[in-house]
Amino acid sequence: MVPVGLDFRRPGMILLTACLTIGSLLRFAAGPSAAREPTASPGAGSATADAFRPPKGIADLKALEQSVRKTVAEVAPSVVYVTGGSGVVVSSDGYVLTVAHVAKQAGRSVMVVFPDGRSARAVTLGNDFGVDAGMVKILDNGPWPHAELGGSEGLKPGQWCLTLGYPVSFEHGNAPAVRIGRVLRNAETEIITDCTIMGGDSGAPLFDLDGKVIGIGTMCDPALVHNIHVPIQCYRDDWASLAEGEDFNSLATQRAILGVIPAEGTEEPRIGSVVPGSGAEKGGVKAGDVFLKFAGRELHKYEDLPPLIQQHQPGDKVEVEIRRGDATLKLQLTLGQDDPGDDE
Amino acid sequence: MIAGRRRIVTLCVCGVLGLFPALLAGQERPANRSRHDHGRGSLAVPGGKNEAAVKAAFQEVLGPASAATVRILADAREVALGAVVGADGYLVSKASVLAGKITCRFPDGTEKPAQIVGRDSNHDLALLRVAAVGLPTVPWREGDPPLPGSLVATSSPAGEPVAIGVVSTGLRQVPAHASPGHPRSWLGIWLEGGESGPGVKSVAPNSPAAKAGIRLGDEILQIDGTAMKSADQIVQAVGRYAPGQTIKLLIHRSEKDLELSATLAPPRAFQVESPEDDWWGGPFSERRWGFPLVLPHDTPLRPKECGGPLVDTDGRVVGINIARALRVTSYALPASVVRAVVGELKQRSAR
Repeated sequence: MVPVGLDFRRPGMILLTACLTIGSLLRFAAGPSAAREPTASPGAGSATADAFRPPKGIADLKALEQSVRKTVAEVAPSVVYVTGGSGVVVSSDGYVLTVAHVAKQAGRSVMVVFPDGRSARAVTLGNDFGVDAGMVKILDNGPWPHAELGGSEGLKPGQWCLTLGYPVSFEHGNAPAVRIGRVLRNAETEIITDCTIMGGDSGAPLFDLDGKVIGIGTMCDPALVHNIHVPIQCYRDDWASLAEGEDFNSLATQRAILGVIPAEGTEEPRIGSVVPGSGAEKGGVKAGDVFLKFAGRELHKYEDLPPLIQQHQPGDKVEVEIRRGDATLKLQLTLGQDDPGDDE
Repeated sequence: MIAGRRRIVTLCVCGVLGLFPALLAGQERPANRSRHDHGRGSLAVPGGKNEAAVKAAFQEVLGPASAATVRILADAREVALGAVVGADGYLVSKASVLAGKITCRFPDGTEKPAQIVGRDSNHDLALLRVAAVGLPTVPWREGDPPLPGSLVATSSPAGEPVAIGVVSTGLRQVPAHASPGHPRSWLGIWLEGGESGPGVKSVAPNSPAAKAGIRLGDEILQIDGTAMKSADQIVQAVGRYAPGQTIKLLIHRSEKDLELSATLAPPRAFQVESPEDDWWGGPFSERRWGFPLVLPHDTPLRPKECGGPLVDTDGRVVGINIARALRVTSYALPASVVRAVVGELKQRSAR
């Protein structure tokens, strides 16, 4: 299939390429501007100041519409198809942000296609497989249309945003498809919005209403309001490594896994089902159990659980406190190992 | 392909996990869930683009459009929305979902039986008529459709819009088969060579062919005016149409020629899936391929919420929603197309 899906965070690959060499070559090829993080205004600009307040009436919606249309007109030329997904050009000499599961590996030849139909030769630079950040460099001479980087740390739930990309069935070489939404959650390694994204949108930029890039599309899940974007701060933090062609945070490193699936339709940390063979099952966790404590830490909602699991290593023994019916139980669970290699 | 499926399976479990999709990568999804009948979730999440405050703000301009929006029932089941296009009782809706006894439920709650005046299978648009006069009609937007990024709402008879979204691109054509993996249309016959044309060896029960009245032993001479010389040619000809489109067959039966119409269906085995559906957001409209011109927008609609007006921030109707197509896209027929088709269908019925 042509378009690589908007899949999960791919398992990392062992670094095979001489990354620094690639980076140096690029700098040579691309001229002086090179691999420094573009300077940019870090976040909440003027147009976004009120952007998270719900509209009071049609006048507010019309103002929003004006901002969105203006932004679309400004940024659309920089939204590109990258072999297997989408991306956004962020410098006139052709640095392109995408996700690691599109770029796959440093040093690969890829094609970048602009909305006006122009295409350019490009090479993948570095990838952070942990957060799914990837970078690509256009090899042909620019200047290329590009968008400015924004900031993701100040994003507030409710803030309006938009995404442009090439979802499956929207042909590249044409204008990217626009979607609107609002930030529903902003965490260190992911922004959740109701800007719908799907296969082909991997690498699609998320913009604020100032037209600044605030995230890059990585995953979706069944709910239409769960669209997941890599915060732009993740790119800023590791800009030098990405630009120098370093592949890092490979998921081949081990992740702990408990083996529970949350119950739906409830905020509390209630277990919907238990994965057969998992540490949770072996330790006696049953569907319907509500987690009260994990390794001594209190849980209030299911979302609290995964970060706590990630503080442990596979094989660790953890004490949990659960509520089952009217009873409160303590169980000893052994964490298992997530096997990302299973997915290839 | 297998890798692709695995990925999807993985993602599905991720979905169950909600905000922490990577956690269970590699596990199978729960067996009782299909990726097509779940997972939309609520759209009206607090702070989301379709929360009540946003819809209420849009509702300020939706009065005239809502007054001309009806709910369409087929055999008492809600199947679509519709739009009043003539004060003397003319309405439009999505043709392929209209089967059985059709009723229109107006904003004031009254229900009226509707006749189908005509169908345009290319655009999947039906013209209906109810016995009424002085109905409020949709306020069409004149001129070009709104630019990408323009806000749109799907009006409902209730007043509050179904949902809001933005225009995603300019007008575009949707091919009958968006990807090589997409199944072709299904007529439901088995064929063998015949003397005058390929003969029908068997007809699948409840298939489009059975409904059209095709019988065992019929010889197919023409499809939409093109002579059919072989079984292969028929298979290819049928495959060029989208599911939901209607074809005319010239049949030779018992020394006589007769003309039958069949409305094609998606092939059974693939009826619920196509590669584009792998990212959830469904259910999707069964007929969502093969449109000459649509305005794509990102409003999350259900199939039964298609058929009615799509409205801009001035309250003007920019088109008629015609398909829920992808996780990220619904299609509207542009106002100019709808008005032209309505004119043609009226003329055709007058003849």
